Amino acid sequence: MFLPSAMVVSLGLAMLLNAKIRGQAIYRTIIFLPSLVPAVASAMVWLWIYNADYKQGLINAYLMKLGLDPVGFLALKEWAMYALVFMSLWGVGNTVVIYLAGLQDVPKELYEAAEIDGAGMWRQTWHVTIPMISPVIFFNLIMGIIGSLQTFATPYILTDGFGRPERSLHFFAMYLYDNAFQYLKMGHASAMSWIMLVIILAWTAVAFWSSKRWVYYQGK
Amino acid sequence: MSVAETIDRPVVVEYRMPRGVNRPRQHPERWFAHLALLLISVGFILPFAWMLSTSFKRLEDTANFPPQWIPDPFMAKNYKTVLNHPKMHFLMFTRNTLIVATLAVVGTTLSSAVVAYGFAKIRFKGRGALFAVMLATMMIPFPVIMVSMFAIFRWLGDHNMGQWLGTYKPLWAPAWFGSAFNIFLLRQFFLTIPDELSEAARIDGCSEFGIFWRIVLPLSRPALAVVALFTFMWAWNDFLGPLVYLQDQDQYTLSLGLQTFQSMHGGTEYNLLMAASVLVILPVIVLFFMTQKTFIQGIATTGVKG
Repeated sequence: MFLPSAMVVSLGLAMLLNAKIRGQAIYRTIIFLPSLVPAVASAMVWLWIYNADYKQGLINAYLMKLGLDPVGFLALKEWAMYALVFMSLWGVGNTVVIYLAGLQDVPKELYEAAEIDGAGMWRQTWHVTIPMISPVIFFNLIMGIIGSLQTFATPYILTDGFGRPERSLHFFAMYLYDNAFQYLKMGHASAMSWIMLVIILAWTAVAFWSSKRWVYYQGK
Repeated sequence: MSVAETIDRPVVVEYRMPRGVNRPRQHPERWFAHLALLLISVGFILPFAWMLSTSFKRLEDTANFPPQWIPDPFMAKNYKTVLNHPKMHFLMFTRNTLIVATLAVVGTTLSSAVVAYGFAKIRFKGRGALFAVMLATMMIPFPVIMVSMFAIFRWLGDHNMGQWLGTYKPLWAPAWFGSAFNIFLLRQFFLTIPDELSEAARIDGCSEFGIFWRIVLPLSRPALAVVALFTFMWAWNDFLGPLVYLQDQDQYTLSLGLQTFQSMHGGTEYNLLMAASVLVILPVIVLFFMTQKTFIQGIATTGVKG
């Protein structure tokens, strides 16, 4: 679930950051900075922000001020995954930079031509920008697949290694770690490693296969 | 923006005129982008601000309602407390992290450069196939090989090849065998160095290693800097590796130490926890600002960071 939202959010951000407006360098830096934060430190900050006690958790304090009841973001299984996705979006800066580089490579003439043909902003985005950066989108998709399947550090730290509540934050890599180093079932864990690799390969294969339909390489 | 682009601009605007839409139309969109970016930036900064703010509070003030953004009294002492905390050996963890990071940086940079040189400058049979295999290993994430790596290091220990588990060795030794991303990055860079330079050196009697060491490497400083920088960041941030291989608390790296500190206290002393987090983040941020250009270029060309 993180992957689609991250893809959309980071592409949107990159487009905003590609607009020619003053102070752009500052915005870019600000949005990139959180992606440098070590997973452990970022988990600490968000544990604190999500804290369920309205007197402590930042979000709950403001919910309370608005007259709403505090929510146990990390304690309820309905909320935990959203909370994790939301905090992960804080660190999309890396992907944004890759998109940004792609966007800057799109030839200006194409937009000019589209404008003469009367294409508005949305049609320019859909028919010029997206096809032109589709190889970049594809690259980010592959990296995203590999990255999400190995999600470990953040949920491990947020939940003290337990994947609470009710395993809603228990990820494949965590289960693998538990089997290998907590229950010491090395054979079981090795089998899981293979499954993980196969899953990654399968998803990547699907992405590659579908890419023939939507990725456009210039000069081919 | 280059000069050419600035000159191009007015022409674009003129093309628009016939459609009956002129200059002012641009403005609403631009304002929208400005506003959106401003709001998003504030959102991205808030967690940092809240962390800093908390780190300067007294413990009892962390539970003030409504939230207090400017700490009063201002407890700079929290940082001193963290540095000397009996349960968070901050300086020792920093030293441990630096040991691992330095060895990993030196190892990765040197070994990846050697391999990349082979792929870029020396012709041999099966080079393409080997290169493809190497690239394929980029697809394998650490959790997949973690169990077998662990087993290998245990096996080495059982067969009188030194103690590996519970030492830093498993964390930095693999870095000395190159890493696919870095080899790829360096190879791409080496390819841009003209072969004529190597030829000239060869005629002057330079050995293959001499060409690598005295011609190609010095010319590749920007790429080597990217590799070193990313490796350092990776080592600084790594959590799973130390978690798997380290056993003794005295050996913990910062990431692991911070997590242990948090889980032992059950997350009560948030002001100290935030101060410690700030200290872990700070070096990375400083390093980023010092090397910003190298950094962004590195990500834009390779698509990875640590």
